[in-house]
Amino acid sequence: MSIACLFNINFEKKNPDQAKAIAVEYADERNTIIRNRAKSKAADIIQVTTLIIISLFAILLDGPTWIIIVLCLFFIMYQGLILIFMNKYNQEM
Amino acid sequence: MNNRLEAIRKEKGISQETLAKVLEVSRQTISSLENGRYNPSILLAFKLARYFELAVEDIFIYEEEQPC
Repeated sequence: MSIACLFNINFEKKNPDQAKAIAVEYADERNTIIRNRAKSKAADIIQVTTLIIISLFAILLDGPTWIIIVLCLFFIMYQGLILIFMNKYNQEM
Repeated sequence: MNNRLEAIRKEKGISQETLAKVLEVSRQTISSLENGRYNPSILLAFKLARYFELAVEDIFIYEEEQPC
């Protein structure tokens, strides 16, 4: 349990109405769609910039091989997770 | 999707805030619905219809998109 979690619990005890309003805002369907789209977009950008471009720079600048291997593994893990979740949601829906 | 949500809401004299509280959504969702910038889920559409005691088709107007 983190300090932020403890702070949240304390806040909820002192301000139940506000806590409920925050919970409603978080669970709101439009906000959920916005949050999921933002996360998806951010992941796509990170994938391209961090993984692919840094890998290319590492290769072109003759960087250590382990960096390139780690970045490739992260790329494979990212793609693998996408397939796993697509399969999972395909079965659920 | 066009809708008559704003007109119906004003007819009943209910604020966006009140409607949002009753339906347990944010006020911004109600505002976006009324502006047509956001289409509700089927669950929310039915909740709205039930709240106003109307049919879903009376609130939301479905117009088929014309092919180019």
